[in-house]
Amino acid sequence: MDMLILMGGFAVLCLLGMPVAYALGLSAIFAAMWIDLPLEAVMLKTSDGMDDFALLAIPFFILAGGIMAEGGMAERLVNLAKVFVGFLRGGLALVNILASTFFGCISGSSVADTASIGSVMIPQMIKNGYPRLFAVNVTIAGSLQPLLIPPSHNAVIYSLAAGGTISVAHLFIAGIIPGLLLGLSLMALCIYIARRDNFPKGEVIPLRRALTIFVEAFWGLLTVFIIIGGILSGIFTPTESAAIACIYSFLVTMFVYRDYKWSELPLLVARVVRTVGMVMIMIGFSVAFGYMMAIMQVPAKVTQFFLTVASDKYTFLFLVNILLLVLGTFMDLAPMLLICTPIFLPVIKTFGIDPVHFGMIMILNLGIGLLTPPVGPTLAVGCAIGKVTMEAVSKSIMIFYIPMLIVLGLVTYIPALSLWLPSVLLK
Amino acid sequence: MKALYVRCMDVLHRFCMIVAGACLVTITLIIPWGVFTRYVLNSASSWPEPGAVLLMIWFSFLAASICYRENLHIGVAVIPMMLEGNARLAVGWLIEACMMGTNLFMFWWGIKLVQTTWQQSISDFPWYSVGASYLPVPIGGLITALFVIERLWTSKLFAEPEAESISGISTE
Repeated sequence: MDMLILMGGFAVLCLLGMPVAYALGLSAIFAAMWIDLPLEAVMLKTSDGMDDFALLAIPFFILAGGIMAEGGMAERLVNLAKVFVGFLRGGLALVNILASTFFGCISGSSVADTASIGSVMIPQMIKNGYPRLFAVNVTIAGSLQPLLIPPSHNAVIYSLAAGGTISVAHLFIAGIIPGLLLGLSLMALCIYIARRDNFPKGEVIPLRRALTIFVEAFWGLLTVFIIIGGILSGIFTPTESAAIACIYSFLVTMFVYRDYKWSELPLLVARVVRTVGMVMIMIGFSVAFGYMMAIMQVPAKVTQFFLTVASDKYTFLFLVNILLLVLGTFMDLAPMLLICTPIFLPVIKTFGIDPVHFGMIMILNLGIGLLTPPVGPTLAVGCAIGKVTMEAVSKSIMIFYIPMLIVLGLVTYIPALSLWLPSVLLK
Repeated sequence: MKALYVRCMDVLHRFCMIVAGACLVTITLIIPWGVFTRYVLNSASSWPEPGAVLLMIWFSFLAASICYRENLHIGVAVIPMMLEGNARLAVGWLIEACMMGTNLFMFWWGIKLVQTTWQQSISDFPWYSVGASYLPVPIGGLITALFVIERLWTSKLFAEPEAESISGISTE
């Protein structure tokens, strides 16, 4: 009955349309009343959930990514990608994917990637004879990479949801190979489609022009080296590196690129306030919700359930992937990470699964949910930019789910894809 | 009377945005300052970290109120999508009643939390009370409750966010 009040109450409030963050809070309040817990405890946990220095990395990474994305970085990254793959058949589709890989180095947001790269690439692809739906699909599919490639603020959210017991640095490094693998698999699919449908070839960019493009993009891409280099060398904590990245992004955008007007800066800050406001209150209430789950022994009961239905970790991972894929179609990534991580953490420890590895599975799996109807923010933004209906994209994007699911399978069943690089770089 | 209340809420909304924006900019500047004092001045300042965390709590609760007024909070809303007419209206009122309840709870129990901890001080800032660090909870709850009253009074249930509020910057 305790569990029903907490979990059932949350589900009903969400389905009724209450904001997820407040549904977490209210169901935690109901549960606290049910078991006669002092109600100050719920407020204390909510406020303490935000009282964490590591949490500051989230607004910093979002702000740094926002400054870069709105400061003309997208076009420079697209130009850089053209140097490497633009001359191939279906080159613009490959450019789209590769530009998203680069974009992942400055921002961890799939929606921001779709908005920034899509607004540059979709019109270009249509102008060069690519079908509109294909252009939108490639943009949406490619935008999954920034969720994995560092700096990924979702990795920070996962770390916090796990009670800060998992190193953000390990999660950042762990995302590199899965992110690149995803990009390569999407490119392979684009090459196949380009040959089948005889899409146009692009032009080879002369060396002198290529060098100019590289120098222009270099200043932006240096952000990721500052972040990763700072963390790996032990000079900065992840939070400090994120703050330094903000200052660096600001200096590059305002004084090197000079594409952003000073008068637009307050608007940018307001947009970041709105974005971060959504996630911070959710983190606060999710800590109170997680506290109630722990008191009601929900993780222990879930562990017991999975030990009953799954005989080994492979079966467990298969079942969890199916469950998360279904839930991910209805709910966004951040709330799912905050709710599911504390539930699954004891289960994965019982099965001997590395939490860093499991983090990559969760982020990739729930990231796919951002591209699926009915609740797919990336899908919605892609449709708006490409001026196509969600129904049309929902059907035509199906083929792009194949490489995503293959990579999800590989990341799930080959832990080395996530764990090898951190074991080499972070000792 | 209704128009006056909405204008007051506009002012409150703008005030929240200015304070939250100022908090964000300040924490973005003071953390690198901490790194600068550690490596360049060889005399690490101890205040940037706890100072930034305190500002973050203010920022979070005020930003959450802003997101509520602008209909930006992440939601699922499967049931309202299936309903029409009075049934949909009733669900809308029920959700707002739940929002009001949650925020009044934050206000009331937040004040109790502030009262309980008011005499304790934070180790990094002895002049600053622990109770004051919890003040954003009741204040955030009160502001959101005022926005809930506005939404009910103006009957703007299930309103979509305005285009200018939505941007490519996203957590997802």
